[in-house]
Amino acid sequence: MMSTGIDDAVGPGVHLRGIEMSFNAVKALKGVDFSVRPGEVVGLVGDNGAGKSTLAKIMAGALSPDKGRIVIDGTARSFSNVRDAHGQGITMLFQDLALCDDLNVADNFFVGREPTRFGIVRHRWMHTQTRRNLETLDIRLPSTKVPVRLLSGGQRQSVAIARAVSFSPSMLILDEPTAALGVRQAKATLDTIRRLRAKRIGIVLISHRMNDVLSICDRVTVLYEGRVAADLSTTGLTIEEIVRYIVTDPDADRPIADQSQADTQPTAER
Amino acid sequence: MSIVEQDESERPASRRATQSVADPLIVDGGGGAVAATRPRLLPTISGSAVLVIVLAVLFTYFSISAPYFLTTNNLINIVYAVSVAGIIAAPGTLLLVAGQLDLSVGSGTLLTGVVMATLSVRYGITVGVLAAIGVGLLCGALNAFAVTVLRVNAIITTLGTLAIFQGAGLLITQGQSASVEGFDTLGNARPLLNIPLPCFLFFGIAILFAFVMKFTRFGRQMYAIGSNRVAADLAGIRGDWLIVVAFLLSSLAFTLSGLIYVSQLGATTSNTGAGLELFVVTAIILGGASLTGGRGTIVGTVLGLLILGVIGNGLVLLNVQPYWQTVVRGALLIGAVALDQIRRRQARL
Repeated sequence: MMSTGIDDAVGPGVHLRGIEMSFNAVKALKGVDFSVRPGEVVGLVGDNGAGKSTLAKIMAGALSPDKGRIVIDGTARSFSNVRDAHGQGITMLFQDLALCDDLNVADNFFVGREPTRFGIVRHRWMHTQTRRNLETLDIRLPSTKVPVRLLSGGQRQSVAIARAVSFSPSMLILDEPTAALGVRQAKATLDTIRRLRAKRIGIVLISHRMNDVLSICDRVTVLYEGRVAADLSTTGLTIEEIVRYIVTDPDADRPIADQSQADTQPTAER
Repeated sequence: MSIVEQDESERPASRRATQSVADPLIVDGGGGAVAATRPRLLPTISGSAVLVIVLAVLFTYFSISAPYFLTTNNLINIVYAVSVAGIIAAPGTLLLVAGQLDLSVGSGTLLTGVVMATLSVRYGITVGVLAAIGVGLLCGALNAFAVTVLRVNAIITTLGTLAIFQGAGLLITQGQSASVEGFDTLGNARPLLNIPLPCFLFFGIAILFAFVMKFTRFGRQMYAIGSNRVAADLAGIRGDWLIVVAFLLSSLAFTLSGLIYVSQLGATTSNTGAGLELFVVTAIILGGASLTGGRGTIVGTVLGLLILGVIGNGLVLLNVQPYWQTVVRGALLIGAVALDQIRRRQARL
């Protein structure tokens, strides 16, 4: 399926080209191109059912596309599952699935990779390392010995992000990271994301909060019924413009001369 | 892979976010009590401390009302009485931390005891013991197979094997007792300070499991799979293999318990090990382990065992009908789970 063709997908970062995906009769993605470069925060927006989650799941290895290529740093890749994608540097934070509520912060940080010396788990070292990791992202917690169940939603989100970052991924996908959070906590999460950009991690932010998207993203990709409606720089962009792309069929207002060309592509109606 | 579809667990994150800060939080186990964002000055009590207080109250009460209670011999008797249950409760705690329950420990005790007694008569004690260990491991493997491969819930699986092992044991002896000669040491020897050998085995195994659960990757990962199986899977933990090992450990424990029973009585009877699972599960839950997994400590379980032992012993000394013990034990089990529910609600779980 994969071929390292010479096209625009050769630069550093993660590039998806011509991604198509169907669920039974429903075409969820109809040839989507999407790119995230190191240190770039890209907003992925669109109405419900536009294909954001499907695209994210494909990037995260949770789904395999019917067609299309995934190119990371110039090399074609494919993922057999989420752990495979994770191993290849692409990590998605799944809401509520990232953390073990009963474990403390440090245990969560090192779950599945507990450091040992002579077979004995190094608790103190885990706490030191966790604290250090959180500090580099400027995340403040009362203690790393607290079970994460007792943390606020924003703190949990921060811990999950910090844990994901500790694997040094090349790309991190965040699906509605601020949706369940209060204003202050959401701001803290956005601040954390800004610090990830400085670490040269590519970030995909799926969000309905256009304010968040505009304030933090370098670029916005708008999906409309499985197609890319727009790929915009956020410089000078307004919420109204994004919303217009979200709700307008990209083919509808094209000149009639172009319509025949559009017909050769899979149609939006299903 | 349908990892994404299993999203949206029970409680909305926003509720946690807004409420977890406001309330005093009670945490059990070794964690101590911590408030979410700002430090709490309100005194909060850890689960184990509650158990120590309960134990102290019981001690005081029985010491006053039953003169014989606070004698060295009686205290040894209390520990002796719970030692077999304690040996089983150690891997039982490990299992429950992973969200699994083994109810087949009582009838497993019967079956392995019967195998040992029956074969010893014909082939000698060594063969009997080895056969019991083999059969015990097979029992554990059967439990593990049903839970991890057939995906049958652990409670249902071990409820089924409870019946199977019991039936098998009674089939072998045709419901009669099976007796052994010359196998007294394991259950009756008092190697030090007049303390019986099973007590030492109980303490040794408890310490071993406490260490394993706190300081080995295996133990830490059991907590992870019990707390959030999907997250543990994503973190690369081989949850099913850990559960298999835990069920095998549980089966080794009930094999040892079967051997101790045979040694103590010189025989098995048709009700050897009967009700042991209730005693063990009650102790573990009383000790603060959560039925849904993720929480529980050996220290808590040992305290739970001692509470049950002290109550049982004290009631006997006060000449209360022995059947009351069973009633009290059942009530304690329900009470312990209810207490856990209250604790969870307070912790905004």
